[in-house]
Amino acid sequence: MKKHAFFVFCIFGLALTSCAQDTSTPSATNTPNNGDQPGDSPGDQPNNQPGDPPDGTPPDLPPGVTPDADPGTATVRRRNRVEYNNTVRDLLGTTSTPADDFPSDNHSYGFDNIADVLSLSPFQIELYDRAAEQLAAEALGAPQGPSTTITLEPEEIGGDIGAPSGDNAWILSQEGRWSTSTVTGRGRHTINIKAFGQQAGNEPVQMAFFLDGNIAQIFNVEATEDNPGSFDLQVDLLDGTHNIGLALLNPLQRSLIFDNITIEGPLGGPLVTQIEAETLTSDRGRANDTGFLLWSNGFLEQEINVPEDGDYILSMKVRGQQGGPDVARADFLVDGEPVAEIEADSYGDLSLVYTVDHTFTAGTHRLGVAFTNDYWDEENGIDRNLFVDWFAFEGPIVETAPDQDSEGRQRIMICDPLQDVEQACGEAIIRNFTSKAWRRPVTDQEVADLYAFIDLAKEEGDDFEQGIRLIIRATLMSPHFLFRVELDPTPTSEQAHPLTDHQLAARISYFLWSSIPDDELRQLADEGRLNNEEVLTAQVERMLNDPRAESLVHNFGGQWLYFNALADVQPDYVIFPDYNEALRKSLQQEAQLFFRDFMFGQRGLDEMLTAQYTYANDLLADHYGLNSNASADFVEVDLEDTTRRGLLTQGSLLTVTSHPTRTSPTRRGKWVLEQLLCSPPPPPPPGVEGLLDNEDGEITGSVRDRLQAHAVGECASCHVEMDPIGFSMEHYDGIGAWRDDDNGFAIDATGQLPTGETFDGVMEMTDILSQDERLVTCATRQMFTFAMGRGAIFHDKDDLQIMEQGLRDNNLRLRALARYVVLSHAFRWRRGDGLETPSTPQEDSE
Amino acid sequence: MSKRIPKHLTRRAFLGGAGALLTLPLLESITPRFAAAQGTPGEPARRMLAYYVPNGIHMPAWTPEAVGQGAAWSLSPILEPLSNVKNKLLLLSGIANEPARPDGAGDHAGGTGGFLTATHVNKTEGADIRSSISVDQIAAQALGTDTRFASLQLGIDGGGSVGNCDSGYSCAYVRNISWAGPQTPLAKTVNPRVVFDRLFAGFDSQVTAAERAKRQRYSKSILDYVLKDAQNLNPKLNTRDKIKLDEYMTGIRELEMRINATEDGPQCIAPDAPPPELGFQEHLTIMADLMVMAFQCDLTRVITFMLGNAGSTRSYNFLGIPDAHHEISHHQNSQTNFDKLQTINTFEVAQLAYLLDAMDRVEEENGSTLLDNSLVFFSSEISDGNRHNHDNLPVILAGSQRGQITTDRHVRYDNDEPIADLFLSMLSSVGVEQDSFGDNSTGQLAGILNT
Repeated sequence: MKKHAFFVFCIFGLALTSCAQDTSTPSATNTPNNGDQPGDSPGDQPNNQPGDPPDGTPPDLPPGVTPDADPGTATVRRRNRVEYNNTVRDLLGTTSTPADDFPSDNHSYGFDNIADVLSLSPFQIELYDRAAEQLAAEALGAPQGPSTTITLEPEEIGGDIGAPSGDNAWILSQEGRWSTSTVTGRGRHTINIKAFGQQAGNEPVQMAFFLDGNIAQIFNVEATEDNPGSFDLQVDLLDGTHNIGLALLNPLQRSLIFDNITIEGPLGGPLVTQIEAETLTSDRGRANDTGFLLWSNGFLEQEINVPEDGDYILSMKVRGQQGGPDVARADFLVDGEPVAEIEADSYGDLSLVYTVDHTFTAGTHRLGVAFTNDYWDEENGIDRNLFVDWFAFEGPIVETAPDQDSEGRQRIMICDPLQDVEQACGEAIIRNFTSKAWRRPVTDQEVADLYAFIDLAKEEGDDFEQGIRLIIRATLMSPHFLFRVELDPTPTSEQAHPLTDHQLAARISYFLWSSIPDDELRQLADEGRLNNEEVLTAQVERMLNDPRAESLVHNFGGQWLYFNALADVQPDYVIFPDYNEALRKSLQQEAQLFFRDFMFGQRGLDEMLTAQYTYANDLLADHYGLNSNASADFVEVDLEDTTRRGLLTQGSLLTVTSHPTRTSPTRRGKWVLEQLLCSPPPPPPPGVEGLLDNEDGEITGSVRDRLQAHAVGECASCHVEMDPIGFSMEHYDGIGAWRDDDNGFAIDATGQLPTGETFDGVMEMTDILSQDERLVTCATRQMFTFAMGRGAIFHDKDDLQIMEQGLRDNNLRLRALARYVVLSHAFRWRRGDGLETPSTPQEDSE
Repeated sequence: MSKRIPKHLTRRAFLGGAGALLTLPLLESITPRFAAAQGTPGEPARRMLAYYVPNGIHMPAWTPEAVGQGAAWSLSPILEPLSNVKNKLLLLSGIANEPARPDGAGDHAGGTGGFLTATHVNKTEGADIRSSISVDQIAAQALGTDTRFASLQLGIDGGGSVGNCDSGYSCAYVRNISWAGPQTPLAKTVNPRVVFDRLFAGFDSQVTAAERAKRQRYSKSILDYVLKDAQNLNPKLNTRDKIKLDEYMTGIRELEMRINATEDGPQCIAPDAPPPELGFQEHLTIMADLMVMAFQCDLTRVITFMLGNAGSTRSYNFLGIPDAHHEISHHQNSQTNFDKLQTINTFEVAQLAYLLDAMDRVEEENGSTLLDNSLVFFSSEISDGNRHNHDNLPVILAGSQRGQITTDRHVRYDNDEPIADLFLSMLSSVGVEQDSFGDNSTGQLAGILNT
């Protein structure tokens, strides 16, 4: 590659008022956009400028074999939103993306995965909690609550839309939605609406049923007053508040009259009826706030209604107060007869739940609990009693296990607690699930601590599975899950040490997949075979070929090359009427498909700027004015003899670097300097930004003319860096379409770079740019920043040089660079931060 | 150039929706089940709300010509939407936030990072982000103990998908105004549905009390577990990691307190949930409704709200302004830009007016309103968008915090009084007496609180 060193000015981003003075201080700080603060310690960023000598350090240090080299510190890294979603996808097999609701992650150094600025607010903790609960419920199904029927009577509820009709109905005669809110349990519900229409015209009355603001179903209400109709629909609801609404869609002469809406559910689960003992009476004891204490032989019972014949489970939550030779005993009573006897153990104050199966016939029965072996030794004050918290029946029990096939269930319930030994099964489930989630084997102590949730669930009268739900929640809420923790043997020591294999596996998987390690990676780590150059090389190759590596396109490419920003911009709809959601998506997809070739394929980085092809669908081909065979789907399109070539002519970039109403050569130039060359110009001083439209709204010249008139004086030294690059792209408008003139003014796409090269148009400009040394240096640095989750520091300079050389040795292929990043010393080693006190951190010690 | 016909501009939209666009129920339909919001005799509820708008204000159309009280002053063009509540305003001119001045460029970040902290923030993209505890968070420590949420952080814009935020300043300074501590910016919620769920989820459920109590026991045991986990982890971490873990533990403890508070806290009957897709105007209206509800139901007493992030580039197409707000704010003394800024600023003030009007409709004890029993602070990170100056800031106070402030006044200070002093007065109004605040306080600002 030919060495070009144009743009020697203004490459340190020193944010000083003049660009030119930076050239005299090549060894100064190089924090992007930064460095003018007195407190900044000089030299905490590597200087990767062309022609900058590598200050005495041999450039060819083999990676990973320089234990004394400084790998830099790596702060515990909170998962960002993308990583959270990907992680729960790969852990639980879910398609839900709970992190979409989390607050945006802060960017630094151009990426949203920078550990030091990924802070955590109490609110985010709350959302984590909610997500964990929902994910656990989704994986195993929610515990079924009792089914209820809610009846909504509109005439009692009232409302602004419509009016009462008779004593017990409501009439809607105009557009507008009658609505109310109600609370339901979680699960499938049947909703029934009793309604009829006052018909008119050719079509029947149309009734829309709204659920939470959206139309759930539209009914044709042909029923009339003489013969009212009944309309059913089934909906799946989460527990909580829901908005229920009805609207008449075709009023004119018509009216809709409805009597009531019933909501029944959740359906499918067995019915549980629980009887609180303190609500009952007996002369053999006394109630307190939570239950009933039987102090001599006696019973508590309640009439129950059994809905149908079948097998039921009877349960009681009781506690024996022991005294005398025997343990307190209790009977389940059905219709006054004992059907089973239990021994009521006592563990301190804990009441325990005892269950027994029973077959009922449908109808009314009496269900009760009896205390049968009272003991009272008045002389010694020894007393035996039975405390009853509640008793219940549940059923009928149908032999269909809940949702056995759910992906989450298969991944979690790796054994059957009923067939296998329950404790062993529980522990196996914990080891399997939590080790994956925490990216390392869990310890025996951790297993035992988590197992306590199964005991807790049972204590509360719930089952094993409820315990597993709690374990999932606890695992997903743990700091070991939410953060990527890498412990140092001595946290206060700055001595470098290699990562453990499991830590390394996580760094690789979060770099390449933005997610947890998979089985293969984990197994290599378990066996201690991962931290080996050959193994790592093979793993990187394998992982780059995996569909999960697509995350590099979105997270790395999209942030580096800005095509994710298409989500943020809003071109003006008057000036750019062609811009719409379909075009936006097409532009984004073109950029993604294109970047994919460079990330995973054999094309070199320099070709990204000069490629004679792109991907387009017919919409995009039309937008670009290409004659192509493009269809509704994207195909590769040859760009020979067209006005397009390479990244800088792609609509995504051209759009996101424009203002809503016009192009911005300055922004386009700045983007090239900042993102492709890592040589950002300083920000403008206050009060000088922006081009002025004339007072009467008339535009007096091309953007170029106006910009050149504007960028004079102190501004000129920096604009001369940025603007010529942008001028070369002036034939592409604010959404990337070709134009021959700028508001009627001729376009001048010629320019001269500060170093003297001249060009006419973006193609000649990119010929020069694609040969710039900094392109390679900068790509290396961008990928390193993304992989490490921190900005590059001074001590990374050797590592960066090795990576950069690796990139050059491999025809500038990014996939080779990914390998060199993983093999680097900084990636495979770490150290403590050497700070003693947990108070306010001091200046960086790097 | 084609003639511009705004697609959706109506007078109603311009005036801030006036309650007609929203699908939330009318506020009247929310019934506080307990009267806690009304305050017990010994301890009346006081509230603080801070309202942030980005990119400064077009000051010539903002500042009323006259100073004085009552009829002596009248509303300027930009302030006109506040006419219903003029008698409950205290407009301040001549207030400065000197510490917000950045190092070199970065006024939007410096001004926003110091918006409620009056602290000179550290210019960094990395580990050492540093401001200080914000005025709302100090208030929350005092006011937040009896409510389900010590404070709420709300806003409209999440954050951009790419890039850096402002001239070498971390995005943390640009997107947050509440700081729990020097290194802990509190992220805001921008999705009304999430806010709604947060405020009203778990309320009024038909599950039995026993079932709900059991769920709470489960939640608590999980939080106890993870907290213990974190405590075990803590000594093994290095210093920076500890800072992160500390944020985590604080969050867990707060959540635990919140679960406890749910047991017997005041409750509201939940209103309808907001619809999923919202335009900007509806989004603003519903966020305002949610803020009023949160106060009314006494779910919190402290709220901060960001109408946009610092240096917002939003296009106000529906007001006939397609250009990016930030770009226009660098107005270069062009009358065209002045007109556009005035339109945008008037719209912003109309959003405040909608909120204040709604607060003033909520009746509380002895004929007072929610607004009377609150103190609302409205400002921007800079004064003029072109000059990026941090003096003569646009500042509105609204509400009298239970009669502690004489309203219907416009007061002009001549000596760039530090905003830190105003914050000391605001803290005093909620019962927090501090000697100093931020970088440059000198004592409470004269003329704010009645003595």
